[in-house]
Amino acid sequence: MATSTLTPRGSIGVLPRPSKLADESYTDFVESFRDMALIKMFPIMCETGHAALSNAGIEPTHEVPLDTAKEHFNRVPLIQTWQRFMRSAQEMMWRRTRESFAYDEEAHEQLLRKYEGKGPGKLVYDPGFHVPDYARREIHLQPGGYTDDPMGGIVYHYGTKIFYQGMNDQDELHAEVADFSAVPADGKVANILDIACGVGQGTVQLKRRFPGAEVWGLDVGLPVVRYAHMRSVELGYDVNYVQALAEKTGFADSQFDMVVSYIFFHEVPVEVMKAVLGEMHRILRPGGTFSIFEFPNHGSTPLPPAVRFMIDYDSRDNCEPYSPGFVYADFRGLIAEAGFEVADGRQPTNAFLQSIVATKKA
Amino acid sequence: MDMVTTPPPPIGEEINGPGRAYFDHVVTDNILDALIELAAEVWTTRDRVSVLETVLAEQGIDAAALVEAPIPSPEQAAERKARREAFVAQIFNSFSRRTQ
Ligand SMILES: C[S@@+](CC[C@H](N)C(=O)[O-])C[C@H]1O[C@@H](n2cnc3c(N)ncnc32)[C@H](O)[C@@H]1O
Repeated sequence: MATSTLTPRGSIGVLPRPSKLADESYTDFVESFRDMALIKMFPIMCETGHAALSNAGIEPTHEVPLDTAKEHFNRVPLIQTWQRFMRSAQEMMWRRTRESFAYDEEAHEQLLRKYEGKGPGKLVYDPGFHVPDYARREIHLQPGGYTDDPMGGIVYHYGTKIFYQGMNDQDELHAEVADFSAVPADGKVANILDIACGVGQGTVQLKRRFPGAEVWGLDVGLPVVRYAHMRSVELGYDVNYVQALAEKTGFADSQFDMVVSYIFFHEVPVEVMKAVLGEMHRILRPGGTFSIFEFPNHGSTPLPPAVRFMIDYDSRDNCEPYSPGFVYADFRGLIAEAGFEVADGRQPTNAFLQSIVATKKA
Repeated sequence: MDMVTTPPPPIGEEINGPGRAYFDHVVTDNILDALIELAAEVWTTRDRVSVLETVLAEQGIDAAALVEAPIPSPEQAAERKARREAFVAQIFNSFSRRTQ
């Protein structure tokens, strides 16, 4: 079975298994605990926060300044507790996940190295590649981030299991992203690129849907693309990976028929986001499509204080340094500015996601 | 609009740094952290026992029923009491340690 070589306890379908039962039980607990905080406590948190404002004689409208909302929210015991729970759950999850998979870092390194020369599919990277400082962040608190921990690939893969609350244990969401990506009007799909591909969960699904196409996954993090390549080889998919920047891919003009991105743009500064849109426009051929699956963004739509409080908390305390910039940007406007025609894409089951299709004018 | 301007901590500092506190007194944060860790440990142990019982049942041993039967000898009872007291002390020591 795929990825079975990675830990002594093998895998559960396409998901690597923690190296010990105790680690699996512990992270299962964290998953349930986090679900409780998100599903049960979060709505109560919003209500009590707004009630705290009302009690202080402030109408909880979208006009309340964030600092005022924070001042009142932060005095509510339930909201203090909620922040504590979310932060602690996230720390516990990464700490134990890393500990479980890094039980023999040298062996893991050997394995990654062994797979580098194996096909199907290739892994391309330049040892002299410079990772820009903005990308070296411990997003979601992942130790070492996507770029600085050699174990980062497998740690991200299992860590996100908890984030997905059981909805993606077998890459179900990634399969949907691949299935819902827009095909160009002329139906020609020979070259596909998955930008910010992470550990390649979506990349292999694109190959499944378009077995005849040449499929590339690109990411700034070497640890994630190395793991992606190893995993794809194990799963038997002929896809290629490259460590590169989405804003400077190195691919030729008009090389791709389809480009896909999934939950990427909220993790880069707005300036980089603009540069990426320009680069995608350059490497897509006329009529080519860019399918974007992303977290919601609100532009200048007024938001209740509790939602703005949550965005601020997530940015500061769950290391999403760039997400407020994304959330309050005119994302669709920026896509159009890059020269694309912008339309709604097919909506994935996860109603939280927005789906956009940007087409390069023919 | 509501931009966050404070930079995130340098790489390596998020979960290994000093951490975050949300309550007026940091001890509240510490107690809750201990509580969550403890709950995680309790779950982990429970899960292990249940897996163990399943494995034994597959070998024809009904461990779940067997553990209900024995009446400990005085020595065994004393030994279990000592281990229990050590467990209680391990968790609750801090409450009597700081006296001010
Ligand atoms: C939330 S992850 C999403 C990954 C992937 N799409 C998935 O399905 O899991 C965001 C990814 O963006 C990558 N990334 C961040 N900045 C980048 C950039 N400028 N160029 C390429 N990748 C980047 C990160 O390394 C990370 O793997």
